[in-house]
Amino acid sequence: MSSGTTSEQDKRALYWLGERLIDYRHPVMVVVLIVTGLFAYWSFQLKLETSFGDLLPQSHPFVQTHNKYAGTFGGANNIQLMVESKEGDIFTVPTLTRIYKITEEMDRVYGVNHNQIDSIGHRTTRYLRAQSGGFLKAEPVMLSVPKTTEDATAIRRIVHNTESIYGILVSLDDHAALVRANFIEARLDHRRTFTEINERVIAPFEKGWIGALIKGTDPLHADQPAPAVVETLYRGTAAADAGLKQGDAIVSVEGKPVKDRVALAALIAKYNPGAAVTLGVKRAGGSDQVENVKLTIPEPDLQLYVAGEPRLYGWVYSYATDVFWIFTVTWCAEWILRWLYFHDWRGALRPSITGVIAAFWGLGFVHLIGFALDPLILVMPFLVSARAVSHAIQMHDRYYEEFERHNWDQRKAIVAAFAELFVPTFAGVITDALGVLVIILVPVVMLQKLAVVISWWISAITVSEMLLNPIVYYYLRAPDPEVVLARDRGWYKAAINRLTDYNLSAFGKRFTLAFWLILAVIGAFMMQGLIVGDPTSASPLVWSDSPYNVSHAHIQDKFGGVEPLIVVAEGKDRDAMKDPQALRTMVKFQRFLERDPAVGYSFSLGDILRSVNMVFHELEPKWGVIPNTARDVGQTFFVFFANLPPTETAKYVDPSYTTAHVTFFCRNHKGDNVARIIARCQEFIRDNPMEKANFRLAGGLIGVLAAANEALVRNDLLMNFLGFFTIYVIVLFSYRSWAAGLYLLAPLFISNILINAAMAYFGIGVNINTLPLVTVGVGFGIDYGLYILSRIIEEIRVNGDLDLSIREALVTSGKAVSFTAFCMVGGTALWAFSNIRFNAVMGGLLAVWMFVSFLASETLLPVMISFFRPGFILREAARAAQRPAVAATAAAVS
Amino acid sequence: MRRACIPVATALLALGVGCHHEVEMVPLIEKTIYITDRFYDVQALSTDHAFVVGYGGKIIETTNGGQSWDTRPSGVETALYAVRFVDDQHAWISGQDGVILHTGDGGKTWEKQESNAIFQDTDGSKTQLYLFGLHALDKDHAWAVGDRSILTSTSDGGKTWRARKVAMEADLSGGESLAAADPILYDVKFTDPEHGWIVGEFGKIMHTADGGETWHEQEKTLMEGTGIFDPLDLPTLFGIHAKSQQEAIAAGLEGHIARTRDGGQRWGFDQIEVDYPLVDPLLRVTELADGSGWATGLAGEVMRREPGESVWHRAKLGQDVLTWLHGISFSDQQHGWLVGGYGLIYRTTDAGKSWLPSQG
Repeated sequence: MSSGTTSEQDKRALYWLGERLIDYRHPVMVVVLIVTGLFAYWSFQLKLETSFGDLLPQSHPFVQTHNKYAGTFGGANNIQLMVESKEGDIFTVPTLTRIYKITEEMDRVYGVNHNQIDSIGHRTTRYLRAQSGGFLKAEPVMLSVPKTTEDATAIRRIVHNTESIYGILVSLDDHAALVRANFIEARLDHRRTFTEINERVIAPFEKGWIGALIKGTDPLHADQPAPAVVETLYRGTAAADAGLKQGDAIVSVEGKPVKDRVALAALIAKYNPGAAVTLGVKRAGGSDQVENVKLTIPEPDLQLYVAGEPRLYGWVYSYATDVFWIFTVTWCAEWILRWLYFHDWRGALRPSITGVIAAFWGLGFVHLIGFALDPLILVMPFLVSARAVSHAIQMHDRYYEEFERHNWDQRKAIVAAFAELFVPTFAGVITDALGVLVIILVPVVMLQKLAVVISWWISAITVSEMLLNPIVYYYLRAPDPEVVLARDRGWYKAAINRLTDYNLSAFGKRFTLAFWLILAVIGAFMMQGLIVGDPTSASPLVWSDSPYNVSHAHIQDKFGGVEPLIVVAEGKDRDAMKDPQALRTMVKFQRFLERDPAVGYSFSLGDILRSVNMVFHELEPKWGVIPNTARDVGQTFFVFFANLPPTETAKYVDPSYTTAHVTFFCRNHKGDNVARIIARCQEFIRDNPMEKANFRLAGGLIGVLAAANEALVRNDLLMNFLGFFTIYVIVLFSYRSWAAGLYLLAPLFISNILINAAMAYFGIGVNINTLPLVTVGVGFGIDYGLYILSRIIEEIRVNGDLDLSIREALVTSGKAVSFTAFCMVGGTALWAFSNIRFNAVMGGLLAVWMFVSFLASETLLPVMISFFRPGFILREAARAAQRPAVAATAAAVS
Repeated sequence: MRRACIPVATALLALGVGCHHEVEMVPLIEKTIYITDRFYDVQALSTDHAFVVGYGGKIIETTNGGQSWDTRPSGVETALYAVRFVDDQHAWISGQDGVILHTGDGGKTWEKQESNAIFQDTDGSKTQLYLFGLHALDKDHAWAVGDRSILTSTSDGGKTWRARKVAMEADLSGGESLAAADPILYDVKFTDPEHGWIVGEFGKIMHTADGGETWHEQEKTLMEGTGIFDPLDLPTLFGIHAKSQQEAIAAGLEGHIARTRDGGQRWGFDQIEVDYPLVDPLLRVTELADGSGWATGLAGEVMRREPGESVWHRAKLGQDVLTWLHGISFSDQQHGWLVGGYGLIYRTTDAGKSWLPSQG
């Protein structure tokens, strides 16, 4: 057996185990099938979803602040919808009407916090209105849809005179309005939100708009059908030109029945502007006769853009079907490759059995522990399956080899392949499993769950590889000897032979060592640029020209920032938020941080106060200041808040005026920006203490990302170290050698350096999504080296010559390694076609990773062994005489 | 030989650990003017030289016609409402919390003076009052007015400021008198050390002929022919401009512009001709030597009266200004400034035919 000090008894034990597995194949098979069946059942119950809380390091103080106040002051799950008028300003009756209706529809989207919607069309967005008798009243900007041009002008005036609205909910150029909605985290359902916003909020008012307001569902009778009846008709629009009248019900478009406003919009939106369609219309008050009306589809006059985390995830989910296709294509491609390599269907089938069994065990377990799959980490299970397949290919190749060596005795070959590969397979699987398990140390629930799941999944590979394998081979008819021999005659084998000879030549060795050393140095230099967090301004999850990033950029452009950072001002006592010093510090904080290039604008209770104070004093802007006494502040708040329900005021300040917040809207969540903004906040807070309150960092997307990034920075190095350490320890036990670990880790170090360099070069940051993949990669590179090293030891025991053994190992195990590596690299590279940029990039990176670690295991590792001639291998040479036959066969093969 | 593998591995380990990229502290944007600035007043000292004051203790100066602006340290963080230079060197600024700042070196440095503008409530608590308007005639004489009818003045270059409440003489009865007892005073102008006006809440127009010792209300004549019967219904006046002892003009709520040509014996509202109603308050008004007039207000309203005419029209700024505009000041017929909310500063060099924004 492979290890230097492992006794013959150990090997005999493995041979014995192999025999017994074949003897008891029926009961073993039944048990495995039953358990696999159970796991398979559970895996079909699995859901694809993201639990936001799981993504956060819950013990981080920022996240605790976030959790405490997200319900009132707004969380990280904001959707921003921008309504932009293509021509002219938004202050026209049809446009304002649509903003009002869009807001109304947004309010009905599942999971929206009804008290945390900001829009000029929402009841909670108020301005102060002077009433007769000198009374002031805080009234919604829009109580209902505007009817006349005068109404629209009045709204325009209100907007321009209210500093908490102008520039914040309406762009400074009057061309766009913002509808901001906050979601209740526990009710986030990304797919549902995505569909509802597309169908109900966007389509009816953008591409599905014909120039008439169509009646929607009555909120009080939501279950009753609401036919598409024309509620208001606007002059000079397509609907008016077509001769539609108020009260007409549209029942069909081009013969397709129309149930309601949503269905109508969906059908209209399908046609290009300028197309003529026939509407089936039941005239108002008329008979049930359906009239045909010709409508020319108008060019949309409004453009709607939606950004924010729930939207982003919605897009990601909508792309998740990609995964299915990539998976199918990969699966087929690998079957073909394996068939080409093994020249028979067993070789193509066997690895699939391992892959499927491991997948069922893995996915079933995911469901069992109450975890759902995040579409962003779908690359992970894919990789694990690929690992399973890769181990199976090694086994299958070895089986053929032993089959030949044992003179076409199937049973002997099965047992020998099982016993000889047991240690490298087992060590490989366990290193992978334990290597991944170290991720559990990151205090992020999702990563912890992931660590457990992936670790389990990888361990499940042992079920088929260690337990089922001999049995499956026994059930399958033995391969045709001609097929087995053919493996050694092809161009592939010849190429491997030639490359191996070249690599092991005197020049080849020097070249290889120098090549890897130079690469490592360059890589180490480049990896200095590695960033924690997201490195790009757009969302790195989807491509920069994806609809999401385009929308995000447009909103950013008009409003200067969409990603919230919520800093809570926590009072020491009641009424702390009436203290002028606290309020002035908050405003000063806003002015300070707004000077950071990544901060767009900000909002605080101080803004409300200044705005109200100004309105309270006949709109004289000189009153737009924080009053200098707590009493004046209190009076001003009273004017504004007195007649508002507490649910509406809670988003600014709690009812006892103890706690309020400053919200900064940041331009992006680049890792660097997040860290810098937080550092600046800390600097300001330190330099500007408040007498009656304390600032607490930090909620909102930026706050929680800062927490996640901090947790990652703290853990990234530890993770790498522990990953390597785990591998080292396992290798130490497997080969009873201090040096073996160092040899095996060398290719991994270089791969690690190069992958980090590649991430820095391509601008991929270490974040909650990339960390597990990178850590998994650490373990994944090890198997290649393990198979090769084991084979070298195995060979040297037979022939006693180190260089001959190295060559032998490279043309046998090395050949299988190169084949699995090409399959895996090819498979992961297919991810590049994913619409989800994250998956594409990670697929690409992992392909690079596996290629580098394969290449290093195949070239650097043998060269290092040949060059340094380690004692733990040489001492095995002494046993050379003890094992007959293999050397002769091996020589014959080569 | 094989021992060599240990140092090699150690070197690789060191490389593998590597270092993380340090967060780069991109500097804060250093501008003189931000979109969050609110500018309340401007004074043009010459064609290219001007001072602007605003929210957050901001004082900025340009000496090149607005191509660049420099911040002058004010030493305060409260809002600064009005600036008045009497010559190249001497000036005062008034602001929130009873702030009076003075410079003797052309605005390079400003020092705080004790305005004594304090209100003592019945419970003994003291509040610093807002000083919304300020006027100075020479380096000795200055006046500032503000909240709760406060007037504070100096006749010794600001060494001492004497504050007092301007008493209202109108005999008001009923509950309303409480509110009207100490109306907010928004602006003050003196034509010489003896004669001056103050305007404020409820359309108050106070006149003095004895350097501010005694004040007489002049607003009652405004009600004639307007349909306003209660003096408390008169529109608040935010700004006043006095051309001479006889001629003055004031602007206020709902686009009202009031004028006197006889030292305040009679005040009347000027005629305004607009294509759509002017409903927003006008905040400031000024008159140039040629008799033309300008008034600024909310929602980007700027009114203009041509020389020799009596009717006001909307001025065309050449761009869509939607926020409030406050201070307006001309150094001569051609060159003038206009400042307002959202960090807006506009400059004209062609007597107001066109206005171009100036950025810091």
